[in-house]
Amino acid sequence: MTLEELTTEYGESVRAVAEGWLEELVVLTFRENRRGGDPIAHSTDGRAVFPDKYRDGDRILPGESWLCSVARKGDNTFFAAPLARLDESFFRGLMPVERRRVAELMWEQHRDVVLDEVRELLTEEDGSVHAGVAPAMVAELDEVRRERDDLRDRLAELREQFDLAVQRLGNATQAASGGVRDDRGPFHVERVGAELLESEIFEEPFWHGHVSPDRRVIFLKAHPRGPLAAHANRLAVPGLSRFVPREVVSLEARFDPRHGGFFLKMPAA
Amino acid sequence: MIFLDVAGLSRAIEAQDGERHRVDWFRLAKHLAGPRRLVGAYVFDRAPDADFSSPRKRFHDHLRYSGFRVVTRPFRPDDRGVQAELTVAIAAELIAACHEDLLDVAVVVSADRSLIPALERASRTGKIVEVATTADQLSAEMRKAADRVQYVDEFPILEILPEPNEQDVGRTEREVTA
Repeated sequence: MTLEELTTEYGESVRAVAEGWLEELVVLTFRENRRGGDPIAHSTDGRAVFPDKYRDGDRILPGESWLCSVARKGDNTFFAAPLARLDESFFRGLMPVERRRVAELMWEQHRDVVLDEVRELLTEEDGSVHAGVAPAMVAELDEVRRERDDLRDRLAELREQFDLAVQRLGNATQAASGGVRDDRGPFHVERVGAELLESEIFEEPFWHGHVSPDRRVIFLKAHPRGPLAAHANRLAVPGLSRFVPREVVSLEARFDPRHGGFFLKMPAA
Repeated sequence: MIFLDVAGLSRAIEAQDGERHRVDWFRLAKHLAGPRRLVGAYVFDRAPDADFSSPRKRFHDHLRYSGFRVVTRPFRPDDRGVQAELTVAIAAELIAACHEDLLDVAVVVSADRSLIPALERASRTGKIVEVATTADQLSAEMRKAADRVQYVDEFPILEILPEPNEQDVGRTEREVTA
């Protein structure tokens, strides 16, 4: 209920009583008296108020805010009796509804002040947060950067190893298959002896040789552990004279990438 | 999947006089499979002797290292000298693989007519059954029982071996190569 409502309900006499009562109960913030002596406070209308030493005024220290009962002595001298110190414990002691009401009033009536305070507090907090967290973050960032550099080095190393492995594999495949060939032939194979073949395809030193049961197809594949030896483009094939008629002096070879070797077919009889 | 009757095919393409070669079973499997994916290759052969270092045992080990599944049966030929137990083993594995849906195409490398019922039964499971053997061994009944025929005569599967060393003279071809 507001004072206006009280006045409406109970008449103007209530207003006088209430104003008198209100006049005595004020919140004052005391500061150092530049002239020395006890702390001094100023009411909202500019009147100087001193602690009333006869009513516990000694409790008031400079820089404190108190809910005081103010009494006039003479025309312009006021003395404040401290009732409650308005500090953190006072606000903590309020009921939640009261605290909320205080906050709402501060927000409605002194928003600028509240905002300035809040900004200042936030700035201080940010500063302290930055001051505490920044070094740790910087250290972590350095660590991450070092780790990234290590990983880059490792990646480069692995790429190098991979390229080397691919190159080795390529060499091994080339050695095993008699070379990577773009063309599949036919290649000319000359029979230069009873069991000796000559051709440009016999570049590798060792070969595997297979013949079909009907003795009409020969398969030759270069392999490092092959039992047949080649030298100067000539390949010795043991038993060749037994399954290739002597009159056959020329053959055709075709490369088969699926089998990785050359197929030689006997000419039709 | 390939089912190889080692003894039967070895007899069919055994080396001619004076020639030195051995069947390259791995290459045979590769030729038979062609561009298809080979899901497995069974080899059926008589069991090796008890001797730990018998050539046949080493031959089987060589096949196993090459990826074949080797099935062996003790050698107990019937009165005609035929080892029926191996043929039944081939039939059993073939039918089981078809029913267990382990294959799309079964390639049976054998000319044994005793396998005809098994081939027909396997074909009825919806699988393609191929028979691979030499042309002169393949009977008309086998040809009819199979969905497709491959002639191994045309595949270069006999590995040409170098001239024998002196210490190899007198040893069998399998002993030398195994």
